Amino acid sequence: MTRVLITGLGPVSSIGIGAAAFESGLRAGHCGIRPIGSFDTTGFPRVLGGEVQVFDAGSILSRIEPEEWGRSSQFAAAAARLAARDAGLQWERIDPERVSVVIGTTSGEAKVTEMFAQQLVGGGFEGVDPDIARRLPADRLSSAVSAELDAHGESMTIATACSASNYALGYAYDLIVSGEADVVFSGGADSVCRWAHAGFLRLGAVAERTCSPFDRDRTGMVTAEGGSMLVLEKAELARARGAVPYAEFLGYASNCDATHMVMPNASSIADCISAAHETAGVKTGDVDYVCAHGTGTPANDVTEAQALYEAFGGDVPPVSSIKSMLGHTMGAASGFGAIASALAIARGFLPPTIGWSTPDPEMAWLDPIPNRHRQAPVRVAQNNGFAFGGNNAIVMLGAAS
Amino acid sequence: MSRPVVLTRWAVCLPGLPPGTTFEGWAPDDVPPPERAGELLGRKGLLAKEPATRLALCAVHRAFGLPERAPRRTASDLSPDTAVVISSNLGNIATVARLSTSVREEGVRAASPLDAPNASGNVIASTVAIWFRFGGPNLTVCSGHPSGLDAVGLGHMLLLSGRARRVVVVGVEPRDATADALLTDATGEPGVAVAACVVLEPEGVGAPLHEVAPVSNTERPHVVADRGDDGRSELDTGSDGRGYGAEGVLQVAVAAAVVTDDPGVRSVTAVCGSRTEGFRSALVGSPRVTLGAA
Repeated sequence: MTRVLITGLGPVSSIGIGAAAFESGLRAGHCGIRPIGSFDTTGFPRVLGGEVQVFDAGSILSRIEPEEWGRSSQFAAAAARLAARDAGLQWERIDPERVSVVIGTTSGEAKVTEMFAQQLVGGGFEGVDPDIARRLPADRLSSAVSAELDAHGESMTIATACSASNYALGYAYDLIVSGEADVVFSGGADSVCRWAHAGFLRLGAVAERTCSPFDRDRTGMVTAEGGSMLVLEKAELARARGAVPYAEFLGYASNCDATHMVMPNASSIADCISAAHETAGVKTGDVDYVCAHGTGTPANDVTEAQALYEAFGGDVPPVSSIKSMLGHTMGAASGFGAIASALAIARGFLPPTIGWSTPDPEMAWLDPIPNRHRQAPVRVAQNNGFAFGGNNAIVMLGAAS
Repeated sequence: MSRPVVLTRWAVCLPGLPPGTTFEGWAPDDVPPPERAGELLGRKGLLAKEPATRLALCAVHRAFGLPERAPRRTASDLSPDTAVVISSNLGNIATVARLSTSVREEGVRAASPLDAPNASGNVIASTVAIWFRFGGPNLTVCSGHPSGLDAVGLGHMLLLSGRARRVVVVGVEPRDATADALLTDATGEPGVAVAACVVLEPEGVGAPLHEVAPVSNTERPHVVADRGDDGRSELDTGSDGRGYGAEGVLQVAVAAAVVTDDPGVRSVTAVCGSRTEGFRSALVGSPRVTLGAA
């Protein structure tokens, strides 16, 4: 069976841009959550966001012009360029037809959509700048990455909301295992915007003061943004070129609760966890770390904890939510989780859940790796991603042998 | 992807066409327009569902041959091995534009909690799963013009990798003022309201889907029937090629209908995409022709 290695990481996040900065951010428990600055929050009762405040796409991109693309496409392409450099790919030895791109997103070009709506209100459809319309489609995200890398293989955008990048990573893995690609750039991208923030607010999901996943007094999630990209490479080729992988992609599973649009189902998630373990060929005792979906909403965290308890038979490894630091980066979220998991395996540490102070009696047994990272060997990491509509996707990574 | 799978069910919904419209070798399914979808689906559960979601539900309903207003499946009827793959580029764009506009104009309270889930790009796929109780992998693809065949290819992959035992693939696009404006800007003409559904299984009675693959030696989308010694002929999918994210699934559904009903057709090749986004092709064989011989 073809094996797949993760050989490059490209995070563009509020706690660090590039693999080294992101790792430092995770280790330090840095918080990238601030009052939102990219739109006027007057009238919004909750105003925290995880924005990438220092982002200069032009300083990272090599081939595409940032001004021709929306913010989410810039995040995706910049993350891909960083991942490519991190992987040290020898482009002259790679067939570009065998390099594919699979990107996950929730809201696509959310800020461009907002500009579109603004022009619509101002002057009707006739008043919309054609350039805005051209930059709006969500498939621009994968197109931007393919253009930036000059990758000629399959280029796909998957819009499975907040688990989109785990779905994207899974498909990327299948492309390599099935022999259709040698290298796949995969992850996700999304941007903070007014309408998405308002939507989550009206669902009662947004945190009041801070994002405190798994804490008894958690009040919700924080909308956030960024680009998360990983290089998945056929192991045989990576070994041949002397690449030093972060981790091996062991497998994944996905399912759908098929019960409710906004209420997650613990039993269905537990089934997905067990399926992920089975496809990855691991037992519950092999898993040393769970990078949780951990949004910080009361409903998600207690349901996720119940599912973990059920799937692990009560013996749950340490679990942390990096959303405590980043906020919820939507379609990029499980890509960031995969990056954190790969770093945990490669560097031997467990990223923390910051802002945690009080155990929740409903999950008193849970070890959230509170507030400080922990040095520990990680053989296998489990990366959870869940979404609206009960869309669950779980990726399993392991130490590269 | 060399191993074929089988197209066991299909349906095409083109509610903008006059009732009774037929094309050479196939005919669209009879469905009401989205605002009257309750006549087919039953009214319960359709509150606040968008046109694209309603169209997709109608297409799946017809593909499975369900009677009008058939009772919904219950919680115990879950099909955990049935996956859903949706292709739609503009599915919820009207909701997102309306939400964005109303929040900008009237503030955060203008965002309806009923609208919020509809603003999520995966609302069609998850609604289909909830409605029909499909508990397998659940994906939404929005890859521009090639998206429909991307979705069919993804479904093919889910079967070959053993991640599902049955895949329900739906291509759907709504027709509204927002979608028209965007598509006219992008392509020079508005789209059509369309939903097409194909059901893929590893084996069974139906038309073999031999492969879905990128293709470069083409200039435009097309669907061509191979009639052996009688030559080749182009098929009309009823959309004038304006199905956008739905087009590839529409092409495969029409191909399946034609190869099944017309004994003279050995296979149908479908190609969708655009010059800037690339092209993909799918080869659908006749159920009467030995696999691999098409």
